[in-house]
Order: sequence, then C-alpha cells, then structure tokens
Amino acid sequence: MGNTTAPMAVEPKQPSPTEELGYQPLSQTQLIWRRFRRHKLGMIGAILILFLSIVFLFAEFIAPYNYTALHKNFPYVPPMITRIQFDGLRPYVYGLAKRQACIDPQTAELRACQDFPPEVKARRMPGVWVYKETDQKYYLKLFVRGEEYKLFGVFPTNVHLFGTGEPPNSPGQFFPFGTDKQGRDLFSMILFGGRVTLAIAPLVILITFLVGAFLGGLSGYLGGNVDMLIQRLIEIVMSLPRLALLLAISGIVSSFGQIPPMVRFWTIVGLLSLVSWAPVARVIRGQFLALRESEYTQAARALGASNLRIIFRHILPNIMSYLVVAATLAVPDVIILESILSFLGYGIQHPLTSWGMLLRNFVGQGFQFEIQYHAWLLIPAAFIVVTVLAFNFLGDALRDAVDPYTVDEVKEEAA
Amino acid sequence: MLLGYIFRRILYMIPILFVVTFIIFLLTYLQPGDVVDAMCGLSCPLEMRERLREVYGLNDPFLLQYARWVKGVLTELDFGYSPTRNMGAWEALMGEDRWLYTLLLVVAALVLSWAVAIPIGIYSATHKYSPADHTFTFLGFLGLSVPNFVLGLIFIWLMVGVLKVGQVPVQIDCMEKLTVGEFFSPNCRDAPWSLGKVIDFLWHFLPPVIILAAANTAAVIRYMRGSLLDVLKMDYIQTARAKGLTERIVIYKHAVRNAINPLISMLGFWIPYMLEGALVIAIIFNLPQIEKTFIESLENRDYAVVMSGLFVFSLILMIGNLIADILLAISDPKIRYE
Repeated sequence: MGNTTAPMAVEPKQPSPTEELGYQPLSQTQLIWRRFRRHKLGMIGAILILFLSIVFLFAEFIAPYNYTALHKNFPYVPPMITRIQFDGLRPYVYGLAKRQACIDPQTAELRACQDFPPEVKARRMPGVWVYKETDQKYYLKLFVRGEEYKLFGVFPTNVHLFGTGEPPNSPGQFFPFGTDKQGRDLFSMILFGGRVTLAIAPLVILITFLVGAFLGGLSGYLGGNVDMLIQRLIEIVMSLPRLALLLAISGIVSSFGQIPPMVRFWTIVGLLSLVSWAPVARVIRGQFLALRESEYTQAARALGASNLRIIFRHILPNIMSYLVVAATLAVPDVIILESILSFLGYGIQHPLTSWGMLLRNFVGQGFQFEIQYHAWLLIPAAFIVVTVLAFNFLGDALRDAVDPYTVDEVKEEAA
Repeated sequence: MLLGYIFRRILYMIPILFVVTFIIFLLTYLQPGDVVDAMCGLSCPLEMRERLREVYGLNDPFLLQYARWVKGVLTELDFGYSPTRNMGAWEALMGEDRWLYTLLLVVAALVLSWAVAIPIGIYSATHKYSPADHTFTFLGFLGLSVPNFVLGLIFIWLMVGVLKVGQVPVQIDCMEKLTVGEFFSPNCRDAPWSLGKVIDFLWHFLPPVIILAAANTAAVIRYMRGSLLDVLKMDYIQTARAKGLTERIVIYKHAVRNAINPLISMLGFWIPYMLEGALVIAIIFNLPQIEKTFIESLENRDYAVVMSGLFVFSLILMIGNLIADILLAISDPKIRYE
C-alpha cells in the first residue's frame, strides 16, 4: 500500500481494488495465519517447539555441566530444583553430604544407614547413596565459570548460564534434575539429548518427504509401467516390519565394530528414512493421480506446458499445504521411533545421547529397583511426551488452518 | 465371489513374500561373522573351521545358499541352527508357547481398543463440542503422544515406586506377592491352573494389554469421530431424518455403518504399530514372547533366530493386511472383487 504514494507514479491514479471493495482482501497466507492464530493449543505447541529449539541450540551454555562429565563424588543425587531456598531474592542451595544407603526389609524404605535405629536390621545397599544437607549455603549465580567447553564446537569458554561456581569436588553443586549412577548431570544430558532428538526428526522428515514426493509423484504422474514398479516397491517395503528391521540392520551395522559418533548419527537418520518413505510416497501418488486429471492441469497441458512446468507450477503448489501438514504430523512418529531405538540400545550411542538413550537405565535386570528408588531418571520421558504433544498440537492447528472449509467450523463453534 | 477374491489376494502375497525372504537373507549374508564363529569360537583351528564351513555350505555362491535356505524354510520351517540356544531357530523363537503369548497380547489389545474406542468415537461425534467430547479429544491427543514404552515405565513406577505393591499382603493359592512383569509371579509359573493362578495371570496380563491398547484406542477414537462427522453431513442422513426415522436408527443403521469402513481399511495400517508396541512392551515387562527372543538373539548375534523373527513379523503384517482387506470386502459393498 505504501507504493501508491510513491513519487514515480506518473499516470493518473487508478482506484485500487482495495478502495473499490472498501476493505483490504486477505491473501491466502494471511487467511491461514489468521485461522492458525485462533488455535490456542497450536500456538502453544509452536511457541514450545521454538523455545525448546533455542534452548537446545545453546545447550552447552545453558547446561550447568558438560553432559559427559562424571562427578564421581555425586552419584544418584536426587533433583535439587525442589530444594532451592531463597534469601530475599537470592536463591541458594545447601551443600550435599553423601551417606551410604540402607534399606529396611520390612517397609522397603531407603534411608541413610545411621538413621535407622539399631533394632531395625537394615540392609546396606552398596553403590546406592542418599544425600543430606550441610549447613553451608551456596548461592546460585548467573554466568558462572565452570567446566570448559566449546560453544557451537568452536569458541572455547567456561561460562555457564547458571550454577554455584564451585569447584567440582566442593559439596556446593547444583544438579537441577539430579544425577545418574556415574554422577552425570541429568539436566545437561537432557539438553544435549534434546538437541540430537530434535535434529534427527526434521532431517528424517526432509529426506522422507523428498524421496516420497519424488517417487510418489513419478508414480502418480507418469502412470503405466513406472507406476507399477514403484507400487510394487512400496508394497514390499510396507510388508517389512519397521521396528524389527531397524533393529536388525542397526545390529548388523554395529557388528562391524566401532564407528565414529557422527557416522552413527547419520546412519540412524538414513535408517529411519529408509523405513518411513513408503507410506508418504503412496499418499503423494494418490494426490498426483487426482490432480493430473484436474481441469487446470488439462488446461495447462492444452496450452503446451511441459511436464516439469505442470508438476512444479500447477500440481506441487496445490499439494504443498498438505505436504507441510503431513510432515509436521509425521515428526512425532519419528521422535518416538528414534526414542524406542535408542532405548533398546540400537539407536544413538555414547558419546552422543538422546532422550530414549537416557531411559536405558530402565532396561535389563534390576530396573525395578532403579525405578523404585531413582524415579527422577524418568524425567527424559516427560520431555519426549511434551515435545511429541507440541508437534501434534502444531500439526493439528496447521491442518485446520490450511483447510479452507474450517471457516464454517469456527463460526459454528462461536454460535 | 468373495472366496475367489481371497484366493487371488493370497496368490498375490506369494511373490512379495519371496522378495521379503530375499531381503532378510541378504541382510544376514552381509553381516560379518557366521554361525561357524559362534559354534567353534575364536580359538578354533583353521582346518576345523574350514570343514564346518563346507558342511554348512557357507562356501557356496550366494544364490545357491539362498535357494537352499528358502527350500529349508518352505519344506520344514528350517531357518537354520541357533548356536546359543542349541536348537533349531524356529523352535528357539516360537517354542515354550511364546507365539501364543504374542498372539494373545496383540489380539486382546486390538479387541480392547476397538471395543472402547468405537462407542467413545460415536459419542464424541454425536455430542460435538460437549465437555465430554473435549475431554475425549484431549485424552486422545495425550494417548497419541505418550509412547508405549513411556506408558509402561510410568505404570511400573506407579506400581513399584508409589503404590509399593510388593508390600501388599496377598494370599490366593499360589499368588503370594503382587509382582510386576512377566505373565506369572514366580510361585504360580509352574503351579497347576487354579483360581489363584487365573487371578495372578490377569494381574500380570492386563496391564501390558491396556498399555498396548492405549495409543491405538486414541487413534481409533479420533478416526471414528472424524469419519462419523463426515458421514453425518451427507444428504442421505438428512433424508433418513426427513422420512421420520428415529435418531437412534439414523445414527447406528445409516451413519455408523458407513463411517466404520474407512477404519477397517486402516486396520492393516495399525497392525505394524501394534507389533512395534508389543516388542517394546515385551522388553519392559520381561514377557516371554517371540519379540523378547528376537531382541535377545540380536544381542547374541544369533542371526538364524533374527532371520526367522523378521520372517514371522513380515508374515504377521501380510496376514493382518489380508484380514483387513477381507473384512473390508465383507463390510463395504462398494468394494469390487477384481
């Protein structure tokens, strides 16, 4: 609109369509945005995803510790985020005093051995600890110096967003979500695991939809023998058990010996894409099949448009909004699949980490003991759920927003 | 007509099954090490190793090995030998009623999820935007967003960590303690069937079934609601109402009958998810199922069992799709048998 007052307009001013109508017509994008904004849960989902992405991007800086750093003096510290005290406005925590844990065979209660009265025959639990608080206060500060790291893998620094700023052997540590068996900070591990999980999902979706759109489009647009061939290929891939196949291939890859972590990362991305593209290709084929016969495609063909022009100018823009929605709704599936794979030990491996891998404490013998006494190690599961929920909300809102018929629904709801 | 359709549909599965076996065989062929390494270990003398390789035909060309393997599979379900379990791979995978438990779990979860979800879906669609509908929609979202294994871990945490069921005194026949995991408590496993054993079995069996059914239930509710809402907008529903049919007949005889067809066609689509869920649940609850043997064999690099596992899972997928297609053909008169 700013253009109408531009000095270069020489010819007499024509009434713009806006003035004729008396109101500004909205573009398709504006309509979609307006419908999307009305969807509260979708907005929450979008903001949450954005927030998590930014946090995970700066994981090294926000994490109070390096996620691989072992704090041998502090195994199995329970979450300290609930133990923050306030001195006016200054938050502080008390120092940690580690005590050998004993278990009361009658009540299954876990406490420090010396706290049990002598008449109770408490059993010592080697390797399990409880923590008491010392009287010493440790204030939580912003921008403290701590463990060395490289921001974005380039800039060496030791400034962390928050922490106590105490040396590693001091009792004044702050582990927001507690630590695991080897004294690694769970909060820091969750941030790094989130980075891996949130990086894998979009990569897999991108590859899946590129391959799916290419093969599905080819199949639907060309038809004939190409269609036959691609359809059989899709059928075969879809008759293979997804998870079992992933596990088997991943197991075979691992049996070739140690591979560098980034190669492992890309292997997982590749494998997840390998088992995910077929249903996408099938649906896109259906869309191409329908649009190939539509009037506007026929009109374009009659005007002598080439196949490529028809595909990129006429068919793709029409299924684009569908593709975006489908891609968003496919993200949760990939996140869950990756988590399961890592949870079973066939996905991301040390030194990288992911949320599924953090839950590996609960696999195998004695996991019920872990779950009973170290329940905070379940926190990564909450992150999986929240992220998946956010993507589901976002996808759902997008679907309603790009569908021009939802206008009626909204009116109906308001009435 | 229908029989002919089923017959053609089964015939059609055969070439796909062959390609699937080929892929499975290729995978195991590519992995380093073979059954001889597992059988005679690293300290094995070279000539012994060579002789064993000759006996098992491991020096033959790839296609010959594949042909021999397929022949063994087709004629006597011989998937090869499992060195860690010292028995045939098929027996190692399916034995001790493991196949029965897998089947029981998946079928029970499937039936449960449909039995719960269809009525809720119908209620949600007929009471659109009511508080109950909003609640179910939100629960459906939650059900879709909480993965099976997380649900399983949370359940065990609630049982073991919060409710401390191990401390609850129980005494019914062989059932002495409330345990979580496996299908029976240790005392009941070998006891003869009795009331206590049945209760013990249900106590252990129902949680995995409910957890496995949860995500599926959420999905079916959503699809049922959406599908029924679409059908309710149709002209013939208006016609049915206009000619004075009761709302009950309009909904159940006209609308639901038509709304359920897309769900049946998606049944084949959900079976893979059920299988995946069952695999993870089997690990978390330590259930004696084929999925658990599959994972254990993968860890032991017992690839004959892994191969038979992949084969069985593919077969279940294909049979599931077949059943879904047959059900759809029966339910939807618009499907043509060509």
